[in-house]
Amino acid sequence: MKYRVFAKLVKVEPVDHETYVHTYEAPQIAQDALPGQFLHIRVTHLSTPLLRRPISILWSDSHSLVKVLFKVVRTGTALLAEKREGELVDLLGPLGTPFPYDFNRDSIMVAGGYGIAPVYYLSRLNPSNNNKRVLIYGARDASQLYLRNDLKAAFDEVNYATQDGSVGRRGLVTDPLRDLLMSRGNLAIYACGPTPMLAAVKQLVAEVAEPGTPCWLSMENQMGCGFGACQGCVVKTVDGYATTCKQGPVFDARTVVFS
Amino acid sequence: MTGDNPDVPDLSTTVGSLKLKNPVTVASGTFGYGQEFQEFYDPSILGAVFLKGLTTRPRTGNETPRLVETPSGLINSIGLQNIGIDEFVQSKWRELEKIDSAICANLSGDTIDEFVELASKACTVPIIRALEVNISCPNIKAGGVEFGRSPAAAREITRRVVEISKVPVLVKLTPNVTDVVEIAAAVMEAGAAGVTLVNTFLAMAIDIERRKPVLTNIMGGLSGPCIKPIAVRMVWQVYKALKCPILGMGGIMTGADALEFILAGASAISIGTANFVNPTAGPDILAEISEYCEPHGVKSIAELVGAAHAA
Repeated sequence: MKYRVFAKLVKVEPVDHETYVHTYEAPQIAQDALPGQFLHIRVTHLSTPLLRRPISILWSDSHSLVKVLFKVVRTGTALLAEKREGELVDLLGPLGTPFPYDFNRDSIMVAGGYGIAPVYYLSRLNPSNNNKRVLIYGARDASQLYLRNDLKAAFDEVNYATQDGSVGRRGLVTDPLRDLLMSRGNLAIYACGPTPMLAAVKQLVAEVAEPGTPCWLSMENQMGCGFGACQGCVVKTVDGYATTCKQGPVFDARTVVFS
Repeated sequence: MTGDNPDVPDLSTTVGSLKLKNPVTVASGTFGYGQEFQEFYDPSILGAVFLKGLTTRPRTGNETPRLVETPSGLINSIGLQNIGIDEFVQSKWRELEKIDSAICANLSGDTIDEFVELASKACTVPIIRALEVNISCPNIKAGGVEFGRSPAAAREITRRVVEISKVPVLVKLTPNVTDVVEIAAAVMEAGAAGVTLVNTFLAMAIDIERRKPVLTNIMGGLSGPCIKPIAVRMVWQVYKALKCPILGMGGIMTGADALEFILAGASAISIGTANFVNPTAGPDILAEISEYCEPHGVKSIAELVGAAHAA
């Protein structure tokens, strides 16, 4: 189910000067949420900005609390960052299709910047039994690698890549990903980050991974309604346009057509 | 509907020969074929549902980006992405059977013959209570808005559709004209049951970093609260000149907004962009209209239609 609720913002945790974790008390949403889904947040009751802002779910306790990680980009997220603990916030959620999860394959989770949110949630919700959960996490520099203190507990292995080399390997996430794909088998890939990163992940998996390796991409897009009505957020797929908000944001990489 | 109980206002209304249980409807292109909203509420509460615009063939819609937010508004260039009339007539309509509201088909043709084909096919669907002829979409390149700008073309399309339609025909007009009254008069003369006022305003936004239009389609249709005062003005002008049935719309976000349109002369209203911001805008606005009635001594919505014109 999807819910519209006025949820109490119970905790604001600044991650850095422009990135925050919000915890909302929203039992209906928390109980239904799954990794890869998002909240569509109305940042003001006034008419500018008019549209909600889609923010990926970072964690749900499956009972009453749901968390999001967001970075201040423009006006909408700046207004969200001004919300104080105790305020009621207009939420719609949980929206979109979640990540499928394959327990029989080792998980390679690839994240860029604040794209860490859904893969963190996915990994933490599915503790290892037989399979390993490996994170490859990239950003321009160390300042854009979020939640680093929490990642060791959520993954069996964490690999960083920064373009300036300030943390981990210098370069893009595709460098460590290529090595992993070439050296290991029986993998499933789960990725979330900027569109060029996702396009590169798709291409690399197609070229290097074992045939039949599942690869799921969580796409980012500007959205209107967030639940499939306005057709504003479509992405190109092999079956025509698909809505990021309802048919996505998680897509089978084989179906997404990158231009 | 509630005539037996003097304390409950009578919200029933009509747009020409189209009878509605209440004045709150949802605008074409903002409600899909109804499915998306059923997770939030039962659309049976609405006076009418105007379905996503149908064309003779399926349309994939325009290239992205298709949306850009502007102050108190939204410019879209979706491009009438839809399944096409044939799939709708063959199967899709069955998904709407359980909705106890006036289901209305919105039709977009590139030629007069296409409008006639769409109308005759739509009339074969038993649940369709009215046709809304869209002569005003700013997002399709051939035809479309041009029909809506010419009184002669608007009259001819209306006449041909009314001739073969088995249900009331509303004509959705573009605001992108100098004199909307002239177009409204033409379609009413040609037998329309009423006019839908107004579609979106032709608009654009430019990305100053890329130094290019934001929308791939360059221009799109502006909707949202920013257009409301202009839309109210157009409803006022058409009602004043013609006293014809009007379905009013343009930036309605609240019951108060809806009441402005009704007081200007609309006998029913449509919610558009607000559906994207608040998926329960329909029932919320209906409740707000209803709550206005009692303290203001309003027994029936009909008392309010055009009431702002009273001397």
